[in-house]
Amino acid sequence: MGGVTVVATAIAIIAFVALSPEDTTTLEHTDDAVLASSGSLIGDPNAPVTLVEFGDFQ
Amino acid sequence: MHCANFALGTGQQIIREYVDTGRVNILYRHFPFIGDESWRAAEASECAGEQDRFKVYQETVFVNWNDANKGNYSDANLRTFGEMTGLLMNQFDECMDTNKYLPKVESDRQAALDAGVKSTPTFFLNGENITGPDDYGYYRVKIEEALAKLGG
Repeated sequence: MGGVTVVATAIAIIAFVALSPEDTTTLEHTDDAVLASSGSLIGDPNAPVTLVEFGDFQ
Repeated sequence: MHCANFALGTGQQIIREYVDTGRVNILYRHFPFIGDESWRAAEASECAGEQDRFKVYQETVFVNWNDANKGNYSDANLRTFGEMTGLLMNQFDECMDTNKYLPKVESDRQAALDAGVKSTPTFFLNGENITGPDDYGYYRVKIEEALAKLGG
């Protein structure tokens, strides 16, 4: 019976991981060197706030 | 909301009040998901970017958008946009022919997927997804909050 419980628990954990909504809603930090060297940066590379826009041209 | 609508409307207002005054910059990253022409247009914009003409090229592309995957952003048209933008065309052609920025476009797309992006435009401020209505007032509040956090 102990084995069955372990298996059931394992399945429950796998199911939970598979079904849980994506929790990666934050964007990893883009360092300043990447910013300054990017051709797709609009504005002053030294501006205090960076707004990142993900776009599709269509 | 459509990227072109945003870029030519709310985006221009953000640029006038915050970007032109040096308080905000906008890092445009690629999440091509609508079709092949999305990918080529993204590469072309980066080829313009290496000639310091990203912004004007982007605006030219958006102004000339009318439908998806109908040849609007064919290589020939993307090249014409380059001419309209005043690019050095030898450099642009080589850039496009060698897919110079395809790795960058792919890496942007992967970063977007990792961050849960599903559609465009999607906006992040200090790493947080702040995408909201296509309304300048909404983004203005978000930007002011970010500036206030800096003590500025």
